[in-house]
Amino acid sequence: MSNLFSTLHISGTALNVNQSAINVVSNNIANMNTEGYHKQKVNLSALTIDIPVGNNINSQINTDAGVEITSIERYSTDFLNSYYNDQITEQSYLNEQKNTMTNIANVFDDLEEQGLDAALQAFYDAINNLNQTPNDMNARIAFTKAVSTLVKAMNKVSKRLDDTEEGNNGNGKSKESLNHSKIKSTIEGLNQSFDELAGINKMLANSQTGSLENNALLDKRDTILKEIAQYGDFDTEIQFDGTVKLSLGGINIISGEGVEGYLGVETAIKYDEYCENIDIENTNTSNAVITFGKNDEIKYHNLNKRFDTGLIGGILDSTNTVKEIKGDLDTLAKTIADTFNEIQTREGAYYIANVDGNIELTNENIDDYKIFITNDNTNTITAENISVNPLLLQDDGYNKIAAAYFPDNNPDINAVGNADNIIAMLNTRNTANSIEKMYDGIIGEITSSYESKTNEAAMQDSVVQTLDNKISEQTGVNLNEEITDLIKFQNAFTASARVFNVCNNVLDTLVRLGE
Amino acid sequence: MVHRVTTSSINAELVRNMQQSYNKYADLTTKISSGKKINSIIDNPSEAIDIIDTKRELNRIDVWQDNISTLANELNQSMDSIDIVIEKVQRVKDLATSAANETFSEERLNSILEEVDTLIESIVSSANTKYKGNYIFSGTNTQTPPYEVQYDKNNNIIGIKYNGTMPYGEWERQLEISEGVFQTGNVTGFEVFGDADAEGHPTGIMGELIDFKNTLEDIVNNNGKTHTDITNLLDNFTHSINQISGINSRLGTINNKLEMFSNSLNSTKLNLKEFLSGAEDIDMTEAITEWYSSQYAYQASMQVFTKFNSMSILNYI
Repeated sequence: MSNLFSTLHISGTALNVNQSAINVVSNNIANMNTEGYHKQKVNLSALTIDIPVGNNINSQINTDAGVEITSIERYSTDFLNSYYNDQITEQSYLNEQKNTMTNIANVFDDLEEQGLDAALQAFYDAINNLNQTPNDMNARIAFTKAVSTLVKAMNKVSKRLDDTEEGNNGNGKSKESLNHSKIKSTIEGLNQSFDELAGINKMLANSQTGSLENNALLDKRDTILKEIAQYGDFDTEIQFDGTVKLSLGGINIISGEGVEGYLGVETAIKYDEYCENIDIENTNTSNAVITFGKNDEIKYHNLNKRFDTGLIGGILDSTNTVKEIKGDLDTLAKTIADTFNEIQTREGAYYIANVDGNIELTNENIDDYKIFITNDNTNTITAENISVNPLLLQDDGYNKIAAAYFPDNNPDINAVGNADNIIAMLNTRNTANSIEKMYDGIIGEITSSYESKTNEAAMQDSVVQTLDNKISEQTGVNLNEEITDLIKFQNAFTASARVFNVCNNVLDTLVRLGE
Repeated sequence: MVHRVTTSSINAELVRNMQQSYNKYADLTTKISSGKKINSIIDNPSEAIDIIDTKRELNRIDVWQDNISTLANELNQSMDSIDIVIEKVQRVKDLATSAANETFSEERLNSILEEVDTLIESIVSSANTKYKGNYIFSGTNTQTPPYEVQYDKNNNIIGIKYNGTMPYGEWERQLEISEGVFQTGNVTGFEVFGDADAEGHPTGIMGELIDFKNTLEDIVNNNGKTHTDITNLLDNFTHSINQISGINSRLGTINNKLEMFSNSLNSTKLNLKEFLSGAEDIDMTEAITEWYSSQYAYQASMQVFTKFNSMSILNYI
């Protein structure tokens, strides 16, 4: 009766297979909202007959047959993944640059009428006021106050730009500021992803391909690779067993189960010290320097060039962006200082203080009469160190302001209504390259840079979105598909069970034949 | 593979669209509630500089208008003082006309002399007018009275000394009334009234006053001067009064010029304000229409989302 048992066997395999298939469907449904989940599908095939059956038609029919699961296929888009990851790298780079520009632009809050421009206007207003009554004590004191407000506004903008940069890459000097920076926590997050990826490599190496478990590991692998791609342009090489070799510009980071090393981050100054000691070319342009090594032993001291894109590249870049804007601001501060100091101390400029004695400006005392000086004993005025000459803020310091100007250098000390020097100061506003126009230039640079970064980032966002759609269309779960499959497999299961029952009844009948 | 639309991809798409409509809706809501289109330079990068420039220009116009009114006030004060001086000089001239009459007794001449002394002192005090704490006829010596009456040891007026700056050199006081345009708002006493320093060469009306007074004294003291000398002085007075009136109408011209500038600044100001309001302020009608339509869009996307999610084959088995 081998043929009846073979039927029983066939329906048995069908019961098993359909049950497993329902299992896979239920896994799909369970994970329809899981991030990075790829739809899986059972591949069925008829059982092959492994013994020769000859030409006898009866024996052909009666041979054991049935159905089996050859593999559980994972819908994948491996061909798209590497391109997709590259786009993600670019996307996070552009978005980070956009962030930096947004932060910088927020420092220049001129439309709220409390920015640097407002201080500049108040400064010129004070000069105009002084022109109306050049000998008036209150007008003079108001002038020194407006100067104070102006330098404080400059200092504040400079400080806020520094803060932006310090939040990103630290200040380049202190380890403490680096530890609180974005770059530090970003690198830490990346190192964790390295560990996770290595762990998955290990599990992948020990798991059966085409199994549910293996597929779940591949999902996790792809999710982590996507995550890592945000940070920078890593090279990935997928091995035949599904494990990944991860490297960065030729530096091996992960191969197999082991992490070769972790990324670290150092202050620029520490790196400079290192360069001094071993005499290598210093090409660092950021406040933070990315290193690579293991167990406190640094193998590579500067990987910044390898991070020219991705989130890390974007963060590292901010040093330069901020530096450029600060450079412009420093030029502005220096121009303000030079312009007004020059007028204030030019030959023929007259100080009320002269009444007490005949003051002649020399190289030694000229600094006492300048309006703007540095507050850190350096010679170059920057937005950070510009400050009011404290001598002007003393009790009668306002007398040091040179309102009058006698070009023949023959001061008429009664001519306290002479304001020719003040008029010269007012006139600095009316030149083609006035301070205010210079400031407009800075704002223009910021806004146009912000605009272009925003556009680039938006374009890249839509590229990534399109790819995202494409990938999820190909690998995601479609509920209708699953439910149809479910019904399909359920029907097959029910039918197989019916066959089994029929077979069983037939056998039963046979068994009772002799009774 | 057949083109599939997966549940998660369409969900993601729907959520994205819903977020977009919500963002637009929220954005418009903030704009309407603040009444401003832009609150920071990154809200409208291309117009940010124009807005900053316009605000700066408006501020400068305020300053220029303030300067213009300061100048106009000082000019008016100058013209008033000059008018008063002219009136008094006219009185001196009338006295001179009477004094030229030979029949006047010595006593009468003495009383004229007394009145002339008083008039000289009052003319000097008019010439020493102050505006905002400054002597307006002193040139740039704003803290020194332009004229001081000089007396001899018998308390007799012997001169009127000018202490201001000379109308050549450092005398102008200027205020900016438009970009790079600096307007002088003063005139020196020397130019208007001249100088009659006892030790110098007398000029202008001050010189004539002293001259007249000296001539009168000479007649009283029989020092060789006659009534004809006074008649000769009359022409000088007429000439000087005309000259001072000329200066006064010159100041009037400046005042007209200032008014013209002020008017043109006012219209610039209006234009700039209009631009600023266009750039900064929201057009309510447009904004609210847009707000409603974005609200509909948002509602529609929410409805589509819920409808879509409740649809599946599950409803039919």
